[in-house]
Amino acid sequence: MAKIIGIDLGTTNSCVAVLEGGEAKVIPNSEGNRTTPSVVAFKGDDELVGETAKRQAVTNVKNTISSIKRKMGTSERVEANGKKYTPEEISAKILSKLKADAESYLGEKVTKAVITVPAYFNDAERQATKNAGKIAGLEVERIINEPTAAALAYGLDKQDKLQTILVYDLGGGTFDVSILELGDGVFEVKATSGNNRLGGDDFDARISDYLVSEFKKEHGIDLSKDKMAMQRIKDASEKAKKDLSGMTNAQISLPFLAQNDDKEPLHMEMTLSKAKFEDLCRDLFDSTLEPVRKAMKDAKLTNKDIDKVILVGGSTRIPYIQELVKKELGQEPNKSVNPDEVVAMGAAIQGGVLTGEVDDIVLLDVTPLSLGIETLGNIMTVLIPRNTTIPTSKSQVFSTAVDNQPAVDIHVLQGERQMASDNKTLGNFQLTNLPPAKRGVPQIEVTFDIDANGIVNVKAKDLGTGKEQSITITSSTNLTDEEIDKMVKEAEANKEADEKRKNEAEVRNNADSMVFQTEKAIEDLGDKVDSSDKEKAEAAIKEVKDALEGNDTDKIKEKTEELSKIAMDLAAKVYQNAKPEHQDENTNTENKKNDDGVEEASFEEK
Amino acid sequence: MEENNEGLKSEKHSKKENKKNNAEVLKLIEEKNSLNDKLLRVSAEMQNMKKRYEDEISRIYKYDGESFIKKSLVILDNFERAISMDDDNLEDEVSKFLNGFKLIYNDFKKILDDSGVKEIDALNKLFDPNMMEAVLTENDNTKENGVVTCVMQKGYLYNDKVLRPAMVKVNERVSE
Repeated sequence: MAKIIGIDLGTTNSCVAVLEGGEAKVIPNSEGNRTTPSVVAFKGDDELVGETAKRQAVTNVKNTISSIKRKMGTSERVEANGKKYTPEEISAKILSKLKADAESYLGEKVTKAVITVPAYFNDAERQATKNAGKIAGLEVERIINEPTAAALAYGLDKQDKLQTILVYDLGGGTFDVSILELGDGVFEVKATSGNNRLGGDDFDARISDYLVSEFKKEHGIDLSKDKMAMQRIKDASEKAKKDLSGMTNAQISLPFLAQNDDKEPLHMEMTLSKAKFEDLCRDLFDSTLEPVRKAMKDAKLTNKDIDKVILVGGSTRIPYIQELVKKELGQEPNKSVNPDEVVAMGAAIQGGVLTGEVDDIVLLDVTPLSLGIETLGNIMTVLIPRNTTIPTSKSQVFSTAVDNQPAVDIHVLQGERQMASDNKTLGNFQLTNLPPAKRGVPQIEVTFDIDANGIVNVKAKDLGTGKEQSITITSSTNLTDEEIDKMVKEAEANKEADEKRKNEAEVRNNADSMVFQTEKAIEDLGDKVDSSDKEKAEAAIKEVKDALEGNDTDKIKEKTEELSKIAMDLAAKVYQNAKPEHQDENTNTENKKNDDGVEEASFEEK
Repeated sequence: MEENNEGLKSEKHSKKENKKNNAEVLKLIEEKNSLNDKLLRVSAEMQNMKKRYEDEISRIYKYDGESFIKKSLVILDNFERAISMDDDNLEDEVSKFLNGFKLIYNDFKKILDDSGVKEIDALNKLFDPNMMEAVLTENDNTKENGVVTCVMQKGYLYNDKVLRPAMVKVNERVSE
């Protein structure tokens, strides 16, 4: 089934997205950017669209066309290259570029699209947009309103009840407010308002003007005639504006910006505070409230009638704007989806609905909580982490903790806490009749398998004998959302304490295993060990054992480290002495090497 | 007679049964086919997605550090601005000081060079919007039309991708 792409054909920038694996994904253009300037230029026989067209605009003013969207649906013609073009034809060139970028990303031909238009577009403007698609070789499956697309991207069509949604869209050069009513999957536009000459560029200009006037105050030099300096100031202003969405101060540093009469360099070094930026632009920001109030009045609504508020457009990242909207409408606006991309994403979702891809998506569940088993020291060892998409299965090999252990207990757990006892027990079983063996030797493979219904099957298999035992747990998903939420939150809250306890358990496990390894080494090496070294090691072993009797983790750790050092020295000495002998053996006894402690040492590191 | 009737009846019955079974089989086959088709589509989509993501990841690796390098270009620019203040008279203090700047600048430039960052050659070349951004024009009839007469801010490529276009002044001959 061919994909239907979603296109946000904007006044200053455009964006294209596609539904992929059930989620809308923005397609980067050939320059690697996620939005494309809506600029078209003609140069000789060449046609340039997007970034390149924008870059050459200054040298080719007459043949460069931007903001064509403002002319859609009119009979006006734009002249370029000695030819007259309809707004449809120009828009078509932008659409063609987006189409080509989508094709190169998807690796297949794209022939169908959903294109968005402002809610206030009339029939002629919509028809013109449709025609533009046709000229670009796209079958326009549907024209949808930009605010509707934004609501789709937020999944608001999936609610059962009738809802009223206000979309506040402040872009690079236009501002739109729309109020939609949504019920039974049908969107109805109740009111629209806005200001089609207001946007982010205006805020940049305010900052630039301020910087120029400050510089003049300080150095007596007017930069506004210096185009190079102005370009740098413009870029710095935009950057400062963006910085101030996340910080309270933006550093503006433009060294060697100009020279004074003595030919000394002049630098611009300033800090722009968020408060100052808000001062500079307050009247512009506040002016967006009037269209909001007008739309509310036209729709005959009050604040309490609005169920959801959605922010669209890059300028809605400005904290003042977010606060302004929140205060005016008395509720927290939705802003989790990238405001530059949300419209294109909504269009892609509409495309997916039309292809049936949305219906076709098999809704796969995820495991709400982690699943695992208890291991030595009351530790919860996770096999399947939470939020893993099911069905899935995972295995891991475990071993025994003591010599000649006859059986292993498989304690199946669910939860996010690090200690086994803090989690929920799902089941318990034993794998018995293990043949006698040193600790760490038996290999027990534990497999978790969850089917699509959340039924968990846990199997333990002794890889040595092939013996296995299993349990099926059907109740793993019986928890309510609240219970799951509570468990996750509890884990969050106890994270530090749990971490500490787990760490303690690990230290004890390490100490225990170090004692075991050293004892085994002494035994294996027999009389190759110097008796004084042996005594030293045995003393160290005793100290670790004594420490393990108590609860001082640091002491256990310290003693373990001492022991490990002594053990290493001991082994090193033995091998140093044995070296000449060993070299002779090396070639013919590959297998013997496994028995002489080298492999054991690395096993311990596991 | 009776028996015969019975036989007919049961034959009729089994025919009916058969028909029902056949319909069920057909339905199952249809269902199986549609499931099979769906499975193939999902598998294909997954493979395609994997390919796309692999491409994307390899692209990300290729341009690893791009945003960091892009940001550090400002430092390079500022070094150049500082150095360009030099009058090449090595006697005065400023020049001696700037000489140190030059050394740091060269070190930095070498690091960028080694990382695959290349300067865009723009001066006296024909303006190319793929790699340059025109900010000013000039009317000099002694020079070719559309030629870059001045590079106001250097542009750079990073492994053949435009990291930053060169900011240039372009000649526009006034037609006589």
